[in-house]
Amino acid sequence: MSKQRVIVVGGGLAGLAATMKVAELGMSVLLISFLPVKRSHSVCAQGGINGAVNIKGEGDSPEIHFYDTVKGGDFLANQPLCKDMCHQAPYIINLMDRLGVNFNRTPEGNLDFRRFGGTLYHRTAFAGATTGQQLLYALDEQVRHYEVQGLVEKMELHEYLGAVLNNEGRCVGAVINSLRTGEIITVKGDAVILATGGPGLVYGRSTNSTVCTGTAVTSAYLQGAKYGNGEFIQIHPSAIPGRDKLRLMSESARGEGGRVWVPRKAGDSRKAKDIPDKERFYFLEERYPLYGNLVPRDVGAREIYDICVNEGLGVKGEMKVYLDLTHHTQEFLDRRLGGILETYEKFTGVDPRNEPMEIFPAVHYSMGGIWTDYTPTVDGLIDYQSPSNQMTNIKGLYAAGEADYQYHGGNRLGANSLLSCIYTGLMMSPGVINYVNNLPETAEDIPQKTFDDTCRQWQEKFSNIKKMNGSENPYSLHRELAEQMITNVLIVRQNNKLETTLDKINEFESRWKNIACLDTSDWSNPVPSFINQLWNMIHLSKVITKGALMRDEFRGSHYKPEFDLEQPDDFQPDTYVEFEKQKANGGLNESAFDKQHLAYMKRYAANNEKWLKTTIAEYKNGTTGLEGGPEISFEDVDTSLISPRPRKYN
Amino acid sequence: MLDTLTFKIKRQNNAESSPYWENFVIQYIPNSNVISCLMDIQTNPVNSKGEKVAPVVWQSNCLEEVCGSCTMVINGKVHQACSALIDKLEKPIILEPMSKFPVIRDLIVDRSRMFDALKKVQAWVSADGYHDLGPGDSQSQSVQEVAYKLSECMTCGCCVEACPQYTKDNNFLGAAAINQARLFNIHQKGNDITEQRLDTLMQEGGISDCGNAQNCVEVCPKSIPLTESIAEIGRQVSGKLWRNIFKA
Amino acid sequence: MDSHFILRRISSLAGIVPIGLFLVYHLYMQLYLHSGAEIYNNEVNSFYDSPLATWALIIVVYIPLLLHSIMGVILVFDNKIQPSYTYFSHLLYWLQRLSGIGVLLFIIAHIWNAKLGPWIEGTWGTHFEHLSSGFTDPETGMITKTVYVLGVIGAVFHFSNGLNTFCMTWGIALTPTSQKRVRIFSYLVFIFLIVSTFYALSAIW
Repeated sequence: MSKQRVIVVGGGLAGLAATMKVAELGMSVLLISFLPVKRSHSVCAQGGINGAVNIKGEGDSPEIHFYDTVKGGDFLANQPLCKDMCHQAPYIINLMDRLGVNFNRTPEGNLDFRRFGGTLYHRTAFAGATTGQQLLYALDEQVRHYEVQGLVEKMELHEYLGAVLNNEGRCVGAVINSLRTGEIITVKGDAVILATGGPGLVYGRSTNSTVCTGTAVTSAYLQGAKYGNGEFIQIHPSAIPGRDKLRLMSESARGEGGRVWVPRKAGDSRKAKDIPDKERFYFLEERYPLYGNLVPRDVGAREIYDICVNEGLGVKGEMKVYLDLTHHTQEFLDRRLGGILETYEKFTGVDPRNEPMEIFPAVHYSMGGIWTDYTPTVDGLIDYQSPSNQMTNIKGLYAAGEADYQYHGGNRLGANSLLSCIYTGLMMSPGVINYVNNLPETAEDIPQKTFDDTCRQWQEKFSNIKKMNGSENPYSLHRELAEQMITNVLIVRQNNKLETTLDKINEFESRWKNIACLDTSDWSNPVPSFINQLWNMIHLSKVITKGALMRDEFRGSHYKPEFDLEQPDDFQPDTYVEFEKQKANGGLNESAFDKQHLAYMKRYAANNEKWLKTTIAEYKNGTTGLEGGPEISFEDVDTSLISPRPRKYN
Repeated sequence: MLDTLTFKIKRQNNAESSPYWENFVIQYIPNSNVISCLMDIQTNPVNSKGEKVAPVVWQSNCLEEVCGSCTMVINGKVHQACSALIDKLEKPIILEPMSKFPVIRDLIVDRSRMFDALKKVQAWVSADGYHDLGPGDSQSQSVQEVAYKLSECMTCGCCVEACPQYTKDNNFLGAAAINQARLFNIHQKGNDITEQRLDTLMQEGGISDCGNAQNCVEVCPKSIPLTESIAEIGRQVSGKLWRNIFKA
Repeated sequence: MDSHFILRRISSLAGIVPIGLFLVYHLYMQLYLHSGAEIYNNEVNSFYDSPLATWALIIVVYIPLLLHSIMGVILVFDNKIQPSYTYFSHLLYWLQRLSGIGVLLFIIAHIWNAKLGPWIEGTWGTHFEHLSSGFTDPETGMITKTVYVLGVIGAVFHFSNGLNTFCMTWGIALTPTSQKRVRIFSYLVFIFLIVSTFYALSAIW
């Protein structure tokens, strides 16, 4: 029998974690990456990685972490996976420590932890303010070690274009495009893991890196993979404005005591430092006394939007607020936040140690992604040997990291993404190997014709792209698409605007056909590849927008003001648990509840009945738009472990 | 106030062809960086003579100076294009690919020599496995602070680009790799591998090819104390030299 | 550990011990120029005429010097000129190489002029007269003086800056602070040796 191998696409945390684990288990891996893996977007993650190690003796535990995660995601995440992830988190942090990540330390030499959004515990391990970079490097080093040993082969500077499916629709390889030679080839693999990250570039400027186009994921969707919860796009409350990119100002700035405020007087033209404390409006602290500046990101972004747009209190009348760290000493800031403060200073020319930073919300993360499966055990954890963990509905095609949809529900908690990336990469590997070992035939045994035919289709597609000589500049068209998405599918969503956006996107789709391929050479030419990416971005933006249009509710990051259930100010989530308990016992004593509360709980229950579901987008020819678009359906969420209840952070 | 901005870009179609200069005039927008100007050229790839040309190509990713992709020579000095702010640069702005690596096209070079160097110095921890082996060793804050600084290296290539000793014709490993060797020698897992790293560094292309020009530490965008790392490795190989002489 | 590494390390060491030490001693001897011809000649001759002098010179000075020179010449051509990096230590790097070549040429001339020449002519032993007549020669005096001045500055610079790079190469000065201290020390050595040598030469100027 010929040798089996796994193809991993993407060299970020999830891809490298999977690569290293599969290699450890003895199977060879072909690692395909758009860039040298060390330059992947994971380096941008700053604040830290969550794990309830309870080093501070606060009584933190994986179960509380699990609860915070599920609650932060507004109960839209499948709970066994979340639970298992949170239980594995302390081990993952220890593993990364052993692999050489330079986590910050306590005076005694233990791992130090800081606070992050959406929790009241010190649960976030961190390496300065470049935790993602440090974690990625540690995994990169392990993979390099396997590369030297011959178990891992890297094909960097290659772009994944699509999966090769055999006649049963099983994935047996991938079509890849060399970004250097422009050559399109197929590679054979018994399983393909897509760990290709998020789609921030659909919004043009975001906190994402330039490779985060979501192309690989969209390609899978166009080939028939289901896409889950597309409309759940996380807006990070604090980013630094920029013309090419909106650079992230980590949540750790707030975790370390950073305070968000605006001048109480609209349009106050004084310098931030000249505004006395009593004339500053610390709106998050006032509105959320318990969590203060560390409310979850969806809440934070909405409040900033409210302050700037509805109240008109944005700094200098713009969509900006202050993030203030100036009360800390220089030494403290340099040790705990050095990296991000340097970044701020480098790109704005202002020293955040002396002057409050000006920040604003920006697209940051996609909770949604390719639909994937899992197998729970009886105690609500995950059966690691199951081949279906992280498998998409295309057999043999897997997804991991930000590319999948499973872990963060309607809103991701800060510092849970690094965790979910490493967790999925490690967790899925035994199952992937079981899958490969139990296949009737290896990819090597599949007739060459299968590969050649798929390869030819893609070669033709690209040669057609190169022949395009219309009048549209692909890069300008991308800016227009992004403008639409930023304006209409961001923090606040309205159905009429979403409808016009869908029309607009269809218009972009037809304009795409009138693109000029600016550069037709073969060698190291990014233009044809970008034109193909743009096509995929257009389709992904349809998934996001249509998902948003269909979901008539307010959940997590998806906010439609007209469907806000208007939680009474004095309502406590525990009341709802009691309400559900009584209902389940068949004896709901309505008079025991406050009338307003009761009405709210009924609204909440009815809303959950209808909308506590995963949005599934499937690509169908001729359904919407010109050639095809998403058909939306809804799927139940596994809420077997923690019963859904209203979120509250104040 | 300026309203246009001229870029003088050294272009090259492929590895074999010869380089040529092309000028681009774009609209001046305050607070831009070099990358956003290159993006502007992409949306309207017309040179200063009014000819439609292929857009300039470059490599970039994170745009916040942590991935190391967009390193190029800007006005004669190596820098990340993302953190090169237009308002702080002399005009016209001259962009060139890095000179120590083979040019692939325009501003893209092949830096695989740097990644190969990381293999040579075995810049990794040899782990017993990825299963649950409990917590790692404890580490003092002071050691962590030293190691953390070293670990910020993003293999961007600034240090070796500015190094007069690192040329296309020799096989010097360069400051970045030496620094990584130091980083992993601090990590007390496996002394064997520490000795192996020093062996590599005591060969042609190793530490003895450093000429003490110290440009590396001046241009490092992450302010990594590279000369300190070189001196530290110098000390370690001195010790090993001594041990080798008296062991043999 | 290969020959590449070992030769460079030996060369680096040789630059300080013994060549550097010999240079210091050699410059120190010149202070006797102020004591007049007789004492100067006696001092110099007692050094060169001692029983082991020739062998000692070959082993301690000429062989190390030859190695250091060959390695130096090889090094000078294996690099890239990058004038846009205008950092002080980069300047020192080039001055070290430039002075190395200059001093090598000077030493060749110096050995010819002060050693082989007198031997062949049979005037060996009258060092003071030889040196002072060379300096005061109405026709070539200026040239000789210029060559000596440049040669001495070059040698002293090469040595004191070499102290600095030696400390880094061998890992003696680790931190930026200690490297700075070593650098200041090397400036002091440079100034001290230059002052001392020019004071010595002033006796026959």
